[in-house]
Amino acid sequence: MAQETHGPSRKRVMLGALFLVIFLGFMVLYLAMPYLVGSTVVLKTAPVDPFDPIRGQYMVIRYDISTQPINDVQVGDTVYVLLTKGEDVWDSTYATKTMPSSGMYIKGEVQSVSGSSAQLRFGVEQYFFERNAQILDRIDRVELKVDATGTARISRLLTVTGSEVRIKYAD
Amino acid sequence: MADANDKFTSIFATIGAILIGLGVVWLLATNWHSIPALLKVLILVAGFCTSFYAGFQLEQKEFRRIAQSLYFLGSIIFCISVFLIAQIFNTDASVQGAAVLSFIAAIGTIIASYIFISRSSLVVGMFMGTQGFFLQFLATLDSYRGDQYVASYAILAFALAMVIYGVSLYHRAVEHIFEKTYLFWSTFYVLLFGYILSYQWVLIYLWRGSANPITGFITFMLILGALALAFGIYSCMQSARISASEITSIFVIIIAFAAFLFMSNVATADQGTCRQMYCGEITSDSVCNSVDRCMWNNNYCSETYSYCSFNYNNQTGCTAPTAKGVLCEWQTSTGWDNKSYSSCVSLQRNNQYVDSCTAKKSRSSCSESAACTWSPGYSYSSSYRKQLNTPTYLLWIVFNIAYIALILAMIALSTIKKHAKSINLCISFFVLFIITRYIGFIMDFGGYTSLAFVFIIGGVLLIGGAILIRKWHKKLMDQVESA
Repeated sequence: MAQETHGPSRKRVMLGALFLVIFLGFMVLYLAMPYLVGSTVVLKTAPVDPFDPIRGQYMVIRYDISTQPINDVQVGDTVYVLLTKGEDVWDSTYATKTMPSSGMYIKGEVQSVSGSSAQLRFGVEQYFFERNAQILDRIDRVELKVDATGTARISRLLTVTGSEVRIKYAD
Repeated sequence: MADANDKFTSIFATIGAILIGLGVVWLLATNWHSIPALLKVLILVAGFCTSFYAGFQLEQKEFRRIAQSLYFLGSIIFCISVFLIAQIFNTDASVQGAAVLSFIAAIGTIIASYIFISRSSLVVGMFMGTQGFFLQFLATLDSYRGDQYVASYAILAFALAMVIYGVSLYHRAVEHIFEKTYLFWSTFYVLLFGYILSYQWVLIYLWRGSANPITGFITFMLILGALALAFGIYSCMQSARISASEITSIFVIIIAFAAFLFMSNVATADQGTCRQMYCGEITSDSVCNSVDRCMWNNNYCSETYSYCSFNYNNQTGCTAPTAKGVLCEWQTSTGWDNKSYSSCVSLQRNNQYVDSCTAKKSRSSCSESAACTWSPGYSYSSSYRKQLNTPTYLLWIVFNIAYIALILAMIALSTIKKHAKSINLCISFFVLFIITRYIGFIMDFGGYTSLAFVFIIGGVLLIGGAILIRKWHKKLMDQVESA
């Protein structure tokens, strides 16, 4: 009970705050890794707008490469999709359960399986923005940063001409 | 009187801390889009660091209650930071993603609560962990689309209760202030476990669904729970802070839990229906052809009525009779687009088959026929009313009585331990349990007259119950306060 009476020492409070800062720092570093060391990939997309009660308004982005023909996979399996660069956007070559040794690839998780085709999720299916945002241009593709493990993060939303999508926020 | 003043200050300080937090969040939120990502992270870090430091300063000046409110606020800002940083990086917005973020926030806050020695931070951490538990549950249901996983979560809740109670005992042994916080959360999980299993359909699927409730992870958690309990009991015995009756109660609950699992496995063995397999489920040609409505065709067991369209895409041979007596005819019809379409259709669909499997009332007799399969679940009467077999029904009754006994025992234990929050929690679960069973009766009793009686009895129970529970609660609180 002595601890409750005196409370933590200055050293403990500093230590606690430092622990939380380092804890968040690791989280930020992990999430920022594709931005720091990743390569750029542009994928074709079709977005819709839902709402997350915890984190606010966001856009669900569906990719053309999300459905892949692949056998012997189950829901929850990790799959790598090999990508090749087209004229404007990157397209999938094939999907495999083992990490490719070379080339550009993106890591996904199997969401559902139908016959010999699997629906994949890459972790970049959402783009958050604040309330009262007006999307001034039609979103046609998404620029991603992909690191060596295949982990991807959204970098920019692009129009059909490749320019960045303009978002206007009402006051 | 001093204590009452302290409580009064604490309530206002907590409300004040929440209001300040909301105000700051609101102010930042309106300009959030125009703040660079790095600055956003720094604002969040500054938010919880400032709150913790202010708490420390106030604690030094003997404003302990206000200091705890600021630790509480700092912990909330830290948890919000986890979610907002995830938002900055556009991470997974699914329920699974939210569950992972809740667990991250919980781990950070619980560890930090030990460094700060802050009970309010621990409460936030445990709350976030529980939120993660529920979100993970929803994510599992969403991913596997199997409500049988509910049973797994009930057992996981029990395992968690054991782990947390063991941790609570250890804290008691070392006289740490977190003991009662852990006691509260272990009470919560054990009551949650009982509440989930008080549903009939959960009992049916506990062992009989496609998902086995005892997975590797749950086994690990049960072992961890047993070890945590053993360590907690041992620690308390070393410092003579546990009575023989408490140890006996712990063992009685665990033995009752194991006995219940064993009994449910036996009782629900024949709870379900035997049905004839669908043609698509049959993989053997002899079994397929032995079923009236099925026919083995091109290494696949299909419905006889699909035979004609499947085998003939032109008029030649369309009228040939098949082995099952199905006659095919070439027919032309007009589609919604006014175009003519021709196809080979079956004239005799052979739908009037007799399902001999439904007469088999036990799992073993069902498995004797290769064309029959056992479906666990409710069986249905001739008037399509849900039915439980006698062993399952008796088990359900026994478990519900045992659950009420468990709540009452926990109330008694909490009264002895002078833990008002646990008493409130037990009474909340008791009320929830009564309301749930009442709604269950409304759903089960068809017809105007019986439903009218259910409503009248419910009304009487509600009015009488509200008064009695209020009196009961007041009496318990008086006992705690006088002790």
